[in-house]
Amino acid sequence: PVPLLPPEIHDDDIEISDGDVEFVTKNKGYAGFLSGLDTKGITKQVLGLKPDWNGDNLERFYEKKAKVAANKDFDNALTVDPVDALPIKNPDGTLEYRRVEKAKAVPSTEKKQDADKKEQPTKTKQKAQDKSIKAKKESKPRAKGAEVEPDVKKPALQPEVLEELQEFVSVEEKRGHMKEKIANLSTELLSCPEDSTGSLKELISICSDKDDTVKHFAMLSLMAIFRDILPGYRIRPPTEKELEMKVSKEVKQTRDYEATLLKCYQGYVQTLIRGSYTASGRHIALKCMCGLLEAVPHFNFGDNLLRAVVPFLDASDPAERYVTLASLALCSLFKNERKHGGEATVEAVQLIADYVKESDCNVQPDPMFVLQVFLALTFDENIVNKNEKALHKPKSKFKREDKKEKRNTSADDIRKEVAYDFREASTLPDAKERRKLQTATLSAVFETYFRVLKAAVAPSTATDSSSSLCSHPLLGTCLQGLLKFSHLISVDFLGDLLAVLRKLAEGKSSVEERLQCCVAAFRIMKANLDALTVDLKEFYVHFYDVLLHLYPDRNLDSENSFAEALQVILCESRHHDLQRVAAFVKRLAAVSFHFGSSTAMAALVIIRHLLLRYKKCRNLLENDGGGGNAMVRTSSFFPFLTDLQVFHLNEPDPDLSGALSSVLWELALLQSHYNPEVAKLSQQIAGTLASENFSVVMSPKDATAAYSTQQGGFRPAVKLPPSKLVKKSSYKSRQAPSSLLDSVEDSENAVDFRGYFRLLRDITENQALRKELVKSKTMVEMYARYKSEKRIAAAGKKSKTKGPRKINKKIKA
Amino acid sequence: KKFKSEIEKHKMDLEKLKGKDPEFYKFLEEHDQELLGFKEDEEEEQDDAEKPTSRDKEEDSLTIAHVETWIIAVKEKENYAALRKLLGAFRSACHYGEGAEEELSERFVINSSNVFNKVMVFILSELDGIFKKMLHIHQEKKVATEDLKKIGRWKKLFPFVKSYLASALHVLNQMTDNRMISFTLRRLRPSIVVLGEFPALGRKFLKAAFHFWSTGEQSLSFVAFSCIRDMAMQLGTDCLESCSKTIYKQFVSSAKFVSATTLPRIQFLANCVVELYGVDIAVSYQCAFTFIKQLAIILRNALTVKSKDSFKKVYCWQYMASLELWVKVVSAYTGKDNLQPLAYPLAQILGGVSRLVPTARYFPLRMQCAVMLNRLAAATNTFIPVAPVLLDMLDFKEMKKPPTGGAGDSVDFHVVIKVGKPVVKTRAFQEECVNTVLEQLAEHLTQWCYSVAFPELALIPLAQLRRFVKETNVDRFRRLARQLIERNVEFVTKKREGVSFSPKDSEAVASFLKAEREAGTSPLFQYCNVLRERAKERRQALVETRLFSRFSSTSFYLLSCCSVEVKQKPDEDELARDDGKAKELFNKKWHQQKKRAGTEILTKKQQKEEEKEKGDQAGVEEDRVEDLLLSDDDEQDDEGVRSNDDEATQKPANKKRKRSSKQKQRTK
Repeated sequence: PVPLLPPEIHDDDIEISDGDVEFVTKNKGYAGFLSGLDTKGITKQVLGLKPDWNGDNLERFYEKKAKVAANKDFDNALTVDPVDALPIKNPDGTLEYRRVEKAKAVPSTEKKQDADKKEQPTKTKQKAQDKSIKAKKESKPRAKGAEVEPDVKKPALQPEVLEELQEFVSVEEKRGHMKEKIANLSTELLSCPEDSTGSLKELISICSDKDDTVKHFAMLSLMAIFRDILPGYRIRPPTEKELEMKVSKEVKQTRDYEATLLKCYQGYVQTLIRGSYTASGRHIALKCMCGLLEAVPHFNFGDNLLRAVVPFLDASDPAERYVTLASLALCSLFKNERKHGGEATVEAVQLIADYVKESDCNVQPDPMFVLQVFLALTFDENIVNKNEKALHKPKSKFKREDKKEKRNTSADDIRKEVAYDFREASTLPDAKERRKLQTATLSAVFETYFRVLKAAVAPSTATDSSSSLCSHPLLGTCLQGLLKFSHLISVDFLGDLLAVLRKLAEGKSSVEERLQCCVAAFRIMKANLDALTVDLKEFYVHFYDVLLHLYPDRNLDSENSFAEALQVILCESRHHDLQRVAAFVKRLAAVSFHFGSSTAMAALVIIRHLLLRYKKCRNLLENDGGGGNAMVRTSSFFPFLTDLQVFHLNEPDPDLSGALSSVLWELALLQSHYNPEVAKLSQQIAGTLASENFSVVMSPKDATAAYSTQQGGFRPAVKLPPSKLVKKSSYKSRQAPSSLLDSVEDSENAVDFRGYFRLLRDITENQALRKELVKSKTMVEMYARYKSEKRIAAAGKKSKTKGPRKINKKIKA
Repeated sequence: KKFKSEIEKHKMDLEKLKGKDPEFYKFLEEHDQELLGFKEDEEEEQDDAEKPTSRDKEEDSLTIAHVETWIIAVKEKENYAALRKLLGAFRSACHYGEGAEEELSERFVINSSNVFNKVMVFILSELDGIFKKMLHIHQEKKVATEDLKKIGRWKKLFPFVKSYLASALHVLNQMTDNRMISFTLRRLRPSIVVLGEFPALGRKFLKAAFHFWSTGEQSLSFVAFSCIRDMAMQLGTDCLESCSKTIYKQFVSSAKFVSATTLPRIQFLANCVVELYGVDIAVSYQCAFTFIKQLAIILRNALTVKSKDSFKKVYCWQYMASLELWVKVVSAYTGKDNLQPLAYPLAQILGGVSRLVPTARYFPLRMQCAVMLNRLAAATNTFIPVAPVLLDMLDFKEMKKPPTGGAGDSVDFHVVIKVGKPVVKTRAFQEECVNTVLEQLAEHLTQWCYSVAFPELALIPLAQLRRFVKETNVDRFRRLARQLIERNVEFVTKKREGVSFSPKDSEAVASFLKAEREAGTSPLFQYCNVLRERAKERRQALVETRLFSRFSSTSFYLLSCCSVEVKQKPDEDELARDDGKAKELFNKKWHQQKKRAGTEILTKKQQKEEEKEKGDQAGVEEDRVEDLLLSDDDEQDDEGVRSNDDEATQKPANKKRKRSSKQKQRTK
């Protein structure tokens, strides 16, 4: 029969008296037999007839035994309520609930006890350390416990365990030490980078430290250092020919330094990129990379950094801030092109384009940022200056509208000249280069946009049911971008682009997106007036429909985009068909019923604008009979109107609605709008427009800005109360509720105050009695004290029960 | 007196103790000087106090006969001496039971509850009349406060009146029984004219009245309000201004928590505020302006800061209750010179509030905003865009998909602001939302169903409803929404064909379809009536299950009185029509109750009798808080008592003592 292993007793549970320790130390010899133990023999006996158990097998056997025992234990043990004690998660992911053992078996054999005793002194030493570990590394002592278990192995394992412990204890110490070291190295480096390449190397070696915390410290400080010490140019490794040449000492020194620096930097970047793959170091690594990108995008390995950062624009975990970090870095990269001359921009944009391409436009959860960064792009149209204009005229995609120059002309002449010369001198050599770069950037951007658009259109034809509102996460940003860069789009694409937009505008995308499509189309048209001869009629139809479903009061952005749409589509475009104008006027008036005051104002402003511009449309303000519904007499002015006599409110096509024959009844109702300004304006339009000429015309954007109340406040202001009140000494009672009151109340008439009196009397008496009670109680207490004191004083005189009796009597009375 | 004799006995006991056990006495002297000294001091004091009182004892211990002779003397001869005596008695009655610390020069001892009652009732109910008679003021004629000084006898009467009012106000603050308070208040009401002469007392009175108005039960609250109103009207603009401010603040502080049970009460309070704001429109405009501005500032803060806390300041009952109050006030006094200009900021605030946190969980709040907007629009006859607030709700995905959270309990949108997350998914919630949205939409459109521009007005709501019909999966909603569509467009369009005026002819526009409006023949109007009826039923079912079971009939009675009063005013027919289903409901309920009035009056009387009986017991229970100071070891002392009172064994110790003391008293 195999002897059972001694039950696993937790180190903390074993109590060792000083006596035990003393005994063991005194009689070390007693334990000597342990060394002479015939382990083989024991093993043999334990394992019975199987002599081939050895080594690993032996261990396995004991493990098996332990498992059986554990199972038994499990039965004996009460599972602690999981609420009371959190379970321990093992490295393999299983949960273990703590158990309380019902009763502990006492070690039975003498031999084992002895063995235990021998270990105990060492164990006690560990205890203190053990406890400190437990707080952080719960799993380790457990694992260790399992290892320590068999008697035979224990001595061998001791040093290992100890080492581990020491290591842990020293970690904190070490961290402090390392921190100091990093700080020292950094200051040294910053003070004189050329002379302290050694410390740079050391710092980089720290970056691959085992301890994560130290590693992060090192990474961050290196980031700061590199931001400072990296030169403003790209280091080019010297060619062989250059190496062969004889150089002065200084040049050699610089060369050496640059070479080391480059090598170190490479190492660092590699560490960072590696770090960004691991879960623990990702955040820090990304932070460092972004910091470097912002500060030194021009330097070597910039492309490596970009390549590492771009995927983070589409991090799957929105809780982490990767997306914001990365997008911020890229935005600043785009904005500060001077630092890198635009190369990094091209690189980044192309990378993003590739990324979108790879992910098939299905960039997941937080898609906004992927393309949002494009919005930060600015295309300096100034690159191609006048001299070169002649050379690169035909294919240029840039509009040569130079705001900066315009501003300069108004400025001081001399300064202008100087600045101009300076700029010419500085930009002339690489103007071509930059143009090329920008072209590349633009093409990458538009490639991305078109890809997204294409993807948005494709599924809507293929799988109708699946396309819900959010199926094209990138579409919104994409349209925004198109709006921004619409003037840069090549004419060749416009036709296709418009076709796509048209499809989108009629499709199942959200109302906002449809609106954006329309606006984008009009913008593009406007930018390429001469080049295009496309009829935008369909977009008018879509916009006419979109107006029905728009709800622009949700927030400031939607308010503004609505105003912009009005501006672009109805204000700035070419001459409209009268019928169409009338239809839009009609629709806008109807729509302004249901908008907030600022958007309603914008709509009314547009109505006024249109009515002023198209005099014929003022017919809408007059009722020619029939209230806008009856047949219209064929007028000599518009013979073509004969077949469009009746106005249809629900006609989807503005051109066919026959709005010209309707009456703008809306104004009648809008005059009683709650907002005084809206009411005023509509009254103005209805009444005086025909006679007066307005010179000052507000744009819808201005109107929205002027009357928006998204941030609170009242526009226009509320009528103030009169500053002085007419004071009256008294008011004449007008139909006071008194009559009602009396009739209701007098029914219950006089109240009996006797109860109240009794109540008050009782309270007074109660108080008096209570006071007395307190008094008596103190008396009794005093008496008791008196008595006990007397007893202690050993007077022994017994009598005087008078006190308490008296009090009792009183209470009874 | 008994109290005194107790002390004398105690003193004698002490003397005896001194004789029998000088050692213990000595010990006491050594260890507890305080105890003995306190006793002796008290005894001395008592002795000092005793001498004069014992001398006057026969004179001052009042009997009914004394009081009656005084009353006759005052009533018939206007005797000043008797009046002084009476007032002295009243004063001591009012200060009764406040202990010896109240040093009064002429102190009457009242031993009998009959005397007490007689004094109180006579003074409170008749003295005001007597004063007025003495001042030669006719009851009917209203007298301004300033006129008092011109009356010759005023100077002579001045101290008497002051004493009367001071005592009465004192006792008012002491009383706890609602009926007594309301009686006292009611009796003090005629004296308000005089109160103007005593500003300090007037303030005290107002303070007490506001307290009772906001905390007392309905009838008391009503009496208190009429006192406040009288006061404000008597004392002129300054007083009215401060009253208007205080009443709003009190209202806001009592509207912290709204539930099915407190809602009627808050509505009653709001009605009171509306009433007070009708006294002087100029003053009301000023107050309303500042308070509405405050609300707007809170909202602006929420809009700009966008923190959770700032949202909470808007999305709470206090904010909503004040908004509702102002809507009521503004709707009550419309017209160019009245509060009409305030409708604009209110409407804007309401719009902003409804849009502040656009989630389905806050739909009840949004719905309340929509109801208020509708009411405001109807009362002021202005156009307010309510439709987007409502149609936006239908756009939420929660309204279109079939509910996943099971049936769920029905939600009363009037008594909640926010619903829990699981509730949003229930069918009951969805149904309630769609129903109320459609009702309110119908309400909004009906307001303009006789307008020339109705077809255009309805264009967008109908387009969106059509879209909703297309998108929703619930057949019932589809049917409901469809019923609303295109009811009225044809009607107005046809009528419009015949007219010859233009949009700018505002008079002609106003008179369009006037006859039909008066006859109520528009199809949408009729449909809306059906909807209203349905909504009322729905709400009644809800309220009946929750509210009526708990509420006593009196509160409804009073509440409906109030709303009837509001209805009686000339230009408020429209308001009354839209004045919230609740109030109408209460009216209806009231009528029903009237039919059953006989039985209920009986039960009321019974209740009152019970209350009377409970009088003594109530006193006991009120004392209990103080009694908690005594600890457990009292029980040893109470041992002896226990045998006396069998019942007492089950009750707390303090009660026992109380009882025993009462018995003691009775035996004496």
